[in-house]
Amino acid sequence: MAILYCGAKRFKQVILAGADWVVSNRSHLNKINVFPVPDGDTGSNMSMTLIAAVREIEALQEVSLETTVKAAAWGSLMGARGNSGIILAQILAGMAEGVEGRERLFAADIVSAFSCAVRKAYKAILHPAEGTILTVVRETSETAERVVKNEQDLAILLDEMLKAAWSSVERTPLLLPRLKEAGVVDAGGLGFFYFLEGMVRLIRGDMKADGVIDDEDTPNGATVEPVEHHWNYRYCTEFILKGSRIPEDAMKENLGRMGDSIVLVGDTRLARVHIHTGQPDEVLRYASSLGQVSSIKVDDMLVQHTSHFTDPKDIKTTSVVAVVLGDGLKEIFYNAGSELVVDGGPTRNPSTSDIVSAIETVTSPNVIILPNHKNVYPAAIQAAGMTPKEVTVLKTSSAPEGLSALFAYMDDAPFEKNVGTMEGAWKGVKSGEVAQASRDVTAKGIEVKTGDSIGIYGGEIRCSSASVEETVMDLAASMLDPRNEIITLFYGDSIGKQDAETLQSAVQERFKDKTVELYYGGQPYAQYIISIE
Amino acid sequence: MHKHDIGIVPLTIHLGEKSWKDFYDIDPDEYCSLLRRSTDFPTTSQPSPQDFIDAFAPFAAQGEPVLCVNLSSRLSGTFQSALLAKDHFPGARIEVVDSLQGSMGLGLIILLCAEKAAQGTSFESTAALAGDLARKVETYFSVDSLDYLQRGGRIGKARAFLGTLMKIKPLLHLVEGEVRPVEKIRTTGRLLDRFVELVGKGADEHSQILLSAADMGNDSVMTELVERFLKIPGLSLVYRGKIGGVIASHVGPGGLGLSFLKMTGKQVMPFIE
Repeated sequence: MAILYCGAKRFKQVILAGADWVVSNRSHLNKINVFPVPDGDTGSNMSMTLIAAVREIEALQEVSLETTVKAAAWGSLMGARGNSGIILAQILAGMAEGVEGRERLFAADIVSAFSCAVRKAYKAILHPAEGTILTVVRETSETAERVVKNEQDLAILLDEMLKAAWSSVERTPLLLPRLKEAGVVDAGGLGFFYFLEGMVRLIRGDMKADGVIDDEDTPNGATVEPVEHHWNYRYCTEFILKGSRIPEDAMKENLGRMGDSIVLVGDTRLARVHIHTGQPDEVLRYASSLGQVSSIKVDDMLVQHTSHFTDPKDIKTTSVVAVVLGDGLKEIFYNAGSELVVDGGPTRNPSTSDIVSAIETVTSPNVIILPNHKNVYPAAIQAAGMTPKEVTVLKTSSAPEGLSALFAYMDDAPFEKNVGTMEGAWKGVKSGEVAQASRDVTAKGIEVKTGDSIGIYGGEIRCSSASVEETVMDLAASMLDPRNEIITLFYGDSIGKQDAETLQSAVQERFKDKTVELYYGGQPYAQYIISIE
Repeated sequence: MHKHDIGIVPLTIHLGEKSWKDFYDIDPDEYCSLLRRSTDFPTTSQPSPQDFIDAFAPFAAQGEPVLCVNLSSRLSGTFQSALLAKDHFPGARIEVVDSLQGSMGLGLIILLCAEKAAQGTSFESTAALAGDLARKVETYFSVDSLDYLQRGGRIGKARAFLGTLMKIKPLLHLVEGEVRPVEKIRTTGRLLDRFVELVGKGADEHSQILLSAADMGNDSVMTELVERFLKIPGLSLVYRGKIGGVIASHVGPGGLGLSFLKMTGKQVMPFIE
């Protein structure tokens, strides 16, 4: 029986089948993902991208072909991870473009959607390389264009596309010498082949009746030895940028100076960006100048790259969401293992929905929140109750407390264990602030004039002076006890680096038996945050 | 070592122009101060199969069984060398065991096996015990920085701690013979609390904990730590010493290491001196 068109129901079924098959084969894909861009696991990235598409389809209230295709496109765009995930999202976006007002897609529609996707995909990647998923998608699309001239049956069309995809996958090592050296085919291209194969399996009827995703595939692919690389651009950085007018071309050009493997998809209001860079902080700072940056993910590829050869079945059992203000502190929190940092603190309390969306965005179903301020805690508690995820809010009320908790976090330890060790870790740290007084005040016998620096610890003003340095020194002295080992100063955005370094030396000079460390916090609300542990 | 007829096939340490056979040629304290002063980075090399053949030969000739317990195969090729050497004596009773441990963890296994053998336990059971202990002994250690582990290539999953913006004293452990991270720690106080917690966890009057502790140029801190350990019910300090030169080359000065075996109820072992 010929299949001449595809409506909402069939579309959903084939996407599910394709996604299932990619997910089933993901650990094989992860294993062969060494070249050309080892940014995370291709199998996991493609799986998560497709799972995001499927979730969006399944959440639909009103089901029509148009809403279904658009949901798949939107879901995969928002959930896209890695180069290959973004290219998959482009294919679905290509379908979505031509679907307006339609109830059925015919062979010719699907073929033109593919051609459109190929153009978009090449455009989305700054330096398209042949021998990757791009080649496989393009050659598959070229075959489809040829076949559709004489053939309207979707089953036959898909079969031909599958054959073309396979022969293209097989040729990837010829196009990309690094694949050949490693003795593998391109993982992204193979992932795309699985996506098609899943659909064909459904149509042929040899898909498992219940469609249950089988996680335990037994990969029989080539084994790959690690090859030394030079890692100037070792951080795989991804984020979503929301703005009013995102200058796509200028942005691509600027990003091109900061890294490679750049992928930019979306429109002038919402873009998803992927880049390999040596300076993720610089990239994020640049992006922040163009709009609101969210869903940031920075991975050290050196770590990922090597971990392929130690344990491919890495799973994150716990995600941490921290609320903190100041670009320096944000970077420190990301670096220490926080999966997402929400802007917020004394001068800017985040909304419950900000925290809910952070909880929803992180990858693990178990989430620990570090509110790091007493005014943020209630919103965090409320947010915890508004999501199906398992959420624990720790009562950290300052950035240093949050950091101490975060240092005890291990991304592969069980959730309960993380909660326990993190809870036990932050209570040993004391934290105080030095900030500028915005009005005259007299508290506990301390007279403060507007513009003076005041030292706050334990909810009370401890000292005050016209000199910020003197205040820091006095506050540190009042917080210290003999068992303490380290004094850490985080300087705010109003303090120059040199002044901060001079102060560090002075503090070290006065407290000789302690270690004094200095970091840029960039917080707007306090000149210095002092942490003593 | 002499008491139990334990032989050592040493690894070799190289620092700058110099080389030493570990245990035989250099004292750990002396090596530690050399390392602190040196601008060179140490390397180590495993014994060759021939070294093991030489060690096995006298026993094989007399028909005596040999139990050869090695450094974790994930950290060193020593185990591989020993296996190759074993093939050289087809008829002999030689058991080569991967301890999955290093330093005091390996020492603890060997001491317990030697004690069992001295009590008249058969060769086969003693060899099986070694394999069993390799999985039961827990090892935790801290380093002053990850530099040595990283440069020596023995960093395993602790790589996750690299590039940490704030200064830390990483707490690490061995899992299946490989270095894994436990926690980023800032202060010595917290580090010691965590060590005591990890060793003492689950201890009560029905359990016995055999502990082996070693440091690398961090004697006073280890002394403080051991005093706290001795308050844990059922704990016996089997060995207190220095991290040998080879492991020291990979953890660096300031390292603290603990290996322990926890047993409950009926499993209790006789106290080992």
